[in-house]
Amino acid sequence: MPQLLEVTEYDVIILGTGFIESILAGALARIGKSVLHLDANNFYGGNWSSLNFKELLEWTRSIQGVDESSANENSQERIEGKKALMTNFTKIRQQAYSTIEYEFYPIHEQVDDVPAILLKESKRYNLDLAPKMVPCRGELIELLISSGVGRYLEFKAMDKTYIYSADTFDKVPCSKEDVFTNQSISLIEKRKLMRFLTFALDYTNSPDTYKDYEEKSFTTLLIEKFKIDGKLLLAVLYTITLIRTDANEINTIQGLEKTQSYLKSLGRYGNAAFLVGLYGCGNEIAQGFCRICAVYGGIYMLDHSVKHLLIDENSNKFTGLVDVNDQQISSTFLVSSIDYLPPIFLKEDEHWETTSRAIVIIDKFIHEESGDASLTVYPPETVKNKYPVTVLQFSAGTQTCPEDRYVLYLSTKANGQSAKEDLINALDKLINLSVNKDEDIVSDTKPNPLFALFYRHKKRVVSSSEIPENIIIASDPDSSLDFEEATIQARQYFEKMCPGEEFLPAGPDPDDEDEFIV
Amino acid sequence: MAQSKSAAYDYLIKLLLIGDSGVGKSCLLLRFSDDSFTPSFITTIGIDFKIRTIELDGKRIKLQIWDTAGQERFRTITTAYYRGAMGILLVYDVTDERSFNNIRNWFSNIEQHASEGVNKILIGNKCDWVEKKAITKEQGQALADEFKIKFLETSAKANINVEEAFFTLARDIKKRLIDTHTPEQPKAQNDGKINIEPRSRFTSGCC
Repeated sequence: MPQLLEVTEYDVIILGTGFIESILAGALARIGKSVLHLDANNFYGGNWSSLNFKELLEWTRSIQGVDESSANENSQERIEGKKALMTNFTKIRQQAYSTIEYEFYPIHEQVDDVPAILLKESKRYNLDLAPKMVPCRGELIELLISSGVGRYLEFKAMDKTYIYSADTFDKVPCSKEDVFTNQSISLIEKRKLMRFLTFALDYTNSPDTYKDYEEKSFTTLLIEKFKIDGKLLLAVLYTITLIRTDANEINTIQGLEKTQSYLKSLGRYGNAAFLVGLYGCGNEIAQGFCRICAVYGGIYMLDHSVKHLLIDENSNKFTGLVDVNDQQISSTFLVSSIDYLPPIFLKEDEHWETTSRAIVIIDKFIHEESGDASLTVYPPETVKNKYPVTVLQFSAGTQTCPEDRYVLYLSTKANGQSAKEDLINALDKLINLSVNKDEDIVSDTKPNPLFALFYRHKKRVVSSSEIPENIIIASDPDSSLDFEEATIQARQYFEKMCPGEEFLPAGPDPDDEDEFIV
Repeated sequence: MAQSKSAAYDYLIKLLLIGDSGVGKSCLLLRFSDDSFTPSFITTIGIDFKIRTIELDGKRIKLQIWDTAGQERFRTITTAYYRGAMGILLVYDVTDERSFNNIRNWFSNIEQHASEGVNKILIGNKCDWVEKKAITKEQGQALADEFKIKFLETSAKANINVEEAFFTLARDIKKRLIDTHTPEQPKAQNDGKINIEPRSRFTSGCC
């Protein structure tokens, strides 16, 4: 018998436990709002989640699966005088993903054994569907510190960056210390780079240096004003600003802003501009905010789907929903991830920001001395790619995979016919892809793959004017490598819902209470 | 004796409370940390974790004890809750047979999410409520024996065995993690982990 809710009226119902929904859940409960937080998945994190290997395969099959429901999605029932719009979680979620394919590769054992091997060690994996890093200074880290959510989390430094050009991988000097010790750039280049970095850290105080370039591209400023070119130019453009498009598309001010925030992130937690979360990023952070919500009385139900959203026709306002147990639950606001919206609100749009992604499990690290977490960037046109391709590598030290395994996350702005097409050339430079079922060649030097999953991920935008104004829609993960925009969005939604209220103030600190020694 | 805020300690131990809603997890926590008891049926709001520093064999051990925050109700305890836990109190209510039967589910939950070798203790709470008792001490002991863990009947209300429960678990953890290590080992295990909090909260943790 299903466990029913005793309370069926809330200030806010939240659908989905992704990053943005979870921040809102924590923030709303923190100021005393009653919150019911549901997720149709049996795990936290939604499209931002980190899954173990078994969950990842199940997720893949669910995304690839054919929708067997025969219900007419545009059907409109009426329940107690309200318009009842049917939801279709599985089908709507499928809309966010495309060109999904995965493959197992033979490694010392027969290929048939590989799935069993990975499933056996499944629990040791925390594989991010939308892998991201946390800048050491920025919106998210300040929120984690001020709200106290940071005390639930552990991080490691992402302190090694590599760039690919002219068929080699070079370590990129990230900090001042790095610049001096780096052996892949000449003394003259070091001086040029230092001159630029010193200027960029404080660029608003030297407007004369860049004012003639404001209307021009960032690249032009670097070449003409700072005489930076060649490999060094690519390194500044693609590993420091971490832009996901062609560098010619960003102007001087955008480039300087990004360089400055990168430089400001250095030195706070050692010699790294970014942190990576242990046990996967998206899921742990979302769970941290969910815990704040629960501590302040929020109620959680996972593996709990929604049948209908109820809309009052006269006011066009959301009034409540009908859940999987046919319980009718009402609230003043609804915060919803896109997956839970009735299909009639969503029109597929080819302009949605689309990212090609890959999750690859390998048996060796890709760069020596790359530490627990590293970033590798392929500038455009280096591996037949139109846009930069980034590769995050994680080792067992980040608690995302077992010992003797490494996880690669590749991503780039979608361009060709499929995610695999967009990423396979970059992957080929890093690992031994010649392993296949016919010729069993396992390399002793190059990393060998065990598993690769390719998929495209869309950031959907819902623009229907019919959506009631008391439904707040939380975005899908974006193509960036950080959570900054998403954090800003969560804050803005909160301010819209609760004007004048404080956003996630710190709670009482248990450590501040007097301690008794027995 | 009350210590200052920055009370020094030698080791930090993270403990969790697990068990069905209403078995008295928060009451045990508040009895142990604040020596208080509130006979309330309302789920406790605002308790994240509580701190109490105890002394064992001349070492000051700071116990950081985490409550479920109500997420046990629909079995939505976050996987993150289990991270880094060194000891777990598995709690049932001696007057509620269902909470006793559910201990098996909670036990397998721990096996799935907590780190291997985490110390556990089985607690039958509300033992002062003799006339309503549904689970005998022998039944509790038999289950604990099956799991090869220790067992105590407690009452947060009457303050029976609460100290013993936490101290027994802390002593077992100390034996497993601290006494078997050379003094310098614990700090080396930090392993490049970064805690973003401005204060060095966890840096003297034992692993």
